[in-house]
Amino acid sequence: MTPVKTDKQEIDLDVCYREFAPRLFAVAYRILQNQTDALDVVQECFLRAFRNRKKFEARARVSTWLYRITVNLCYDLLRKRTREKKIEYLDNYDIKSVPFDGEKNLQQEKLVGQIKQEMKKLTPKQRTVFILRLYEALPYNEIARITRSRVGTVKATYFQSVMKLRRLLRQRGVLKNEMPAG
Amino acid sequence: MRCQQVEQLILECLTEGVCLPEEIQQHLKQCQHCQQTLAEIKTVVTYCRKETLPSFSEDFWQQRFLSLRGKTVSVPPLRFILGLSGSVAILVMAGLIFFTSPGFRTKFHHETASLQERTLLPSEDELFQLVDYLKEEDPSLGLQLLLKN
Repeated sequence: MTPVKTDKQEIDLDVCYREFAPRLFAVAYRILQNQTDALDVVQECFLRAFRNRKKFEARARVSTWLYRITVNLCYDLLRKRTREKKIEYLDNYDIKSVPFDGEKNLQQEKLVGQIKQEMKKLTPKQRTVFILRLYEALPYNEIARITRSRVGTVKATYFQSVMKLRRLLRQRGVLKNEMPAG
Repeated sequence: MRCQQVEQLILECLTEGVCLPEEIQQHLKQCQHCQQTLAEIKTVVTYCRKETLPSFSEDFWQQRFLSLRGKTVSVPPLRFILGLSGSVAILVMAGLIFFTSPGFRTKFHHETASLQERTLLPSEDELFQLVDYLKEEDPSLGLQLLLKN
C-alpha cells in the first residue's frame, strides 16, 4: 500500500486523494444513493482532512480517519434531508439500477433494484455498518473506530441489518424461490 | 450449536467468502430452518455485491483533485483578516469622530485663542511698567493708553 504520510508526518493530499477518493465515493454513494451528493461529500471530506491535518493522530490510520469524516458528512446530509422533509425525495432519487457487467439478466437486475430499495429502510447506522463490512470488507475493529462504537455493537448491527434486509425482502416475496447461482 | 449462532457464523463465512466449517455443515444437514437461512442470506449477500457503482475515469478524479487543490492554497485565516480590518476601521472611525467633534473643535479654538491672548497681550505688571514709563515721557499719552486698555 502506498504510504500516505510523508517524512514530515503530514498527509500527502495527492496520494491520499488518488488512493481513497473512489473508495470514499463508493461509501458515500451507497449511503446517500445519490451521485452528485456523494461526489460533493468526497470533496468536502478531503477539504476538511486537509484543513485539520494537524489534528490528525499519527497512531490512527488515515483511511479510518477519512472514512469517519465521510460517514459523518453523509449523516449530516441525511439529517439535513430529513429536516427539509425530503424523505420522499430519497425514494424518487437516482434509483436507476446500474446494469451488470456481464449477462443482462433482467430478473437479477430487478432483484438488485429491490434490494437497493429495501436498503433505504435500514437506519443510517445499520446502512453504514452494512456497507463498510460487506462492500468495503473492513474488519470490525476498524468499523468500530469509524462509527465510534464497540466491536460487539458493530457485529450485532451488521447481523441485524442483514436480518432486517432478509425480512423485508421476504415480506416483498422476493426471497421465496430465489436462489443465487454458485 | 444453537441456530442463532449458526446464522451469525453463516453470515460471517459468506461475508468473508470462506467455506463453512464442518461443524456448521453438520448442523445444516439436520436443521431445515438454518438451510433456509443460509439460502436467504446467500441471496442477500450475493445480490448486494452485484450492485455496481457509477465509474469514473482517472482524468475525472484528476480534475476533481485539481479543483480541490485550488481550495487548499494557504491564505491567512479569514478570522485574522477580519480582525485586522475591523481594528483599522475602528481606529479610523475613532480618529474621525474625535477630530471632527464639536467639543474637540471648541476646546481647540479656546485653547488657541487663550494662547494667542497670552502671547499678544502684556501682563498686568508689564502694563503698569509701560504706563509708568509713558507718564514720565508723555503723561497725556500714558493716560490715553491706560484708558484704551
